[in-house]
Amino acid sequence: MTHTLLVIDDEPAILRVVGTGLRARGYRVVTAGTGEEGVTQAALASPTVIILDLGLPDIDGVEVCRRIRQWTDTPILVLSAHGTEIRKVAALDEGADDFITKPFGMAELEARIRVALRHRARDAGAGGEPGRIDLGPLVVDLAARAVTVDGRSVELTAREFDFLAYLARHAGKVVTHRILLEAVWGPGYGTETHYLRVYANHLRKKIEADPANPRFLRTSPGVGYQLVAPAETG
Amino acid sequence: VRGRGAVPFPLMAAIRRLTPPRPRLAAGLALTVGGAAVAVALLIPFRSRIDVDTAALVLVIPVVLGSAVGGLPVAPVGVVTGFVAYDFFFIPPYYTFRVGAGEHWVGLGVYAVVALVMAAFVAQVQRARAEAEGREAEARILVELASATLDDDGLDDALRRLIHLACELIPLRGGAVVLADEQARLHSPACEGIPALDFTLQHLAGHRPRGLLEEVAGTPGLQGTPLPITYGPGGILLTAGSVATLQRRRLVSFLATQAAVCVERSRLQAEASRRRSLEEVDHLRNAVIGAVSHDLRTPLASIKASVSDLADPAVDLSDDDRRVLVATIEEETDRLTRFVTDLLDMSRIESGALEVRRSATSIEELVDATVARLRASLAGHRFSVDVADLPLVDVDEMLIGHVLANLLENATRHTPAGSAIHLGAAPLGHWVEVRVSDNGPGIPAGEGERVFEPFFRLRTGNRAPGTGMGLAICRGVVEAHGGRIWVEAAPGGGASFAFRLPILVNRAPITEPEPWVRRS
Repeated sequence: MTHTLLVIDDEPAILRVVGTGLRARGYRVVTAGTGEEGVTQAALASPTVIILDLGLPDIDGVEVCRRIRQWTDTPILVLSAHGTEIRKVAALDEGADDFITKPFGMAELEARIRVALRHRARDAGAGGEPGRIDLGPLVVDLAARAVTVDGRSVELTAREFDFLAYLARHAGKVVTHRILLEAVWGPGYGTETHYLRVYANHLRKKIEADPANPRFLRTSPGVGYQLVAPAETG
Repeated sequence: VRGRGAVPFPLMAAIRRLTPPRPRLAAGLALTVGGAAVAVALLIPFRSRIDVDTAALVLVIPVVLGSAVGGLPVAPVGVVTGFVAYDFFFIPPYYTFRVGAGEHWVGLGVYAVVALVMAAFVAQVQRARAEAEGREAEARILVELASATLDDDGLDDALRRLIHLACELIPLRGGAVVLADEQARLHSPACEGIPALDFTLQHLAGHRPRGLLEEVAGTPGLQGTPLPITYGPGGILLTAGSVATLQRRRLVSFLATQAAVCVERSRLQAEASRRRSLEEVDHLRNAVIGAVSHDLRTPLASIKASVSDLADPAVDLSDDDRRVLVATIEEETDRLTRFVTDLLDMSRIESGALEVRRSATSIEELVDATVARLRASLAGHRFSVDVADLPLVDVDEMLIGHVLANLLENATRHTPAGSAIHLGAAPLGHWVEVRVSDNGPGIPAGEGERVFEPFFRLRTGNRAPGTGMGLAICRGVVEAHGGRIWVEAAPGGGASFAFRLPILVNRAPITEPEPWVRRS
């Protein structure tokens, strides 16, 4: 099946290059040069993944994100530059799924697109067993509050489980520090990012084979955490 | 407006009361003694018919009146006078100091006590009234001095007004504020009635305020009061004239406080405005850094993405794809080069390191060469040239060619395809004026100067291609040639950019260099 990707960027050169590279990799690519056009195309072209540059001439990228999120869950991958960290986090808070920093290699961009597609497919296929999130070897059973890795059961504290469960429910998405803190600890804890570091470390020791080189729980320094299903090899 | 020296009339009245009316001792004494004499004279004819005590009562009156006028010192004199008169004239046996009946001793005693107490009381009331008036006057002076410094017209003027008012109101023979600067040099922004102060200060150079205080302590008739300044170097209030009374000392110390408040307020204002301008510079610098990094990073992003695709054997690129990617790399590399060149030019201009290699140049030839070079980008517009027969100018051909190209490219970029662009050049007095006019949207009113600021583009949010430095570089180059560049509205809408260059005068274009010393 051919996936349609929407690329929103005001730089013609980027649109040309990214479009060429992604088409050569077998995707259908639709491009938009302004935020307005991007929002329209997000509705008309029904893309499977949206790639959005934050610096647009007409509407701010964060606003584009917000408008698209009002009616669709299509994964949004944000293109950001150094020096736009605050807006990148704002875009993630508004519902963007992941980000990639310019300049980037096309292979890395495609890897991000694949992660987004994988989790989109998983979301779409969810419904077999409600309350169970299957991320390859990592299975989170929300109903029984139980976690298994490679079939082996893992003991988690209540907080650790909540932390993991929230990320699992939003697997594939970079969850910002603020959102994670408010979801797990409650409103008012939005700035206590050191809690997250501590719990992420504990979790990695329990669910990762090599905590220094995590398969599931990724850190985006200064931004947040992301739980991904490892790509099936072979 | 409170002008210098204009002391309001009611205030003058208050000042007269500031020094409480000195009790008029002589008048008081005369009144009490004379009054006693009159009373005696009036009472003698009736003394057989009236009670002895009545005479005592009447004789209290001159004592009280005298004390009211002459103050407390009059009271005992009045009491003694009255006592003697009472005894001599009214206590039988008359005209002797003998006191007949014992009860008359009581009368005399009561008289003395009553008269003394009454006199003391009256004198006290009088003094309190005078003091109250004095205080009121002082309060008015304080208000006057305080409001003298409220007008916001600079420290020196405020201090001068303060000193002037103080001299008149307190009053002082003279006054001055002496301030130290960071290097402990003393200067006096406000001085009145203190001769040779500047001279003295020069002598005390490097001495800090303390040195001046010591100097002043040895000068009769001059007092020094340190200003209670907490922010920055200190200062001294000099006053000439008597400060004998507590009240005057209070006023002088208030004056010092007021001067200190003035100085501090002015220093804090200066500090605040310095902070503000630093913040603006900071803000602009961040904006520039943001713009520069965006402009550098954008072409890099395209190049990196293209190269990563071309280098990836797993990606199945068609020949067309490869051509697109390679062309993009070339374009974006050019764009980067242009931007970096502009940045370097800009920094050379800003640091004054721009090298101008002048030579006698023909503007006609320069125009022809530049237009030929830009043929491709001008092709989309209706382009016309009108260059008159021009004298030579003494310019750097390459730099001015760059200015011309920049103005023409600007015009093509900011106007719709197919619209007219006109290039004209004509002699004008000592100048050659070159003008590039278009029919585009023009420059908004009031922005005419700002378009020549580096990175102006970033403040308008205009994302037109270009580095945002072109016009700033043009201005730098033209000004380095002693010329001028500006923009005005073109007749019929659009922008008209013009620059002037000085005509080459009285210099033969090619001459042998003259030797320094000519030998005959």
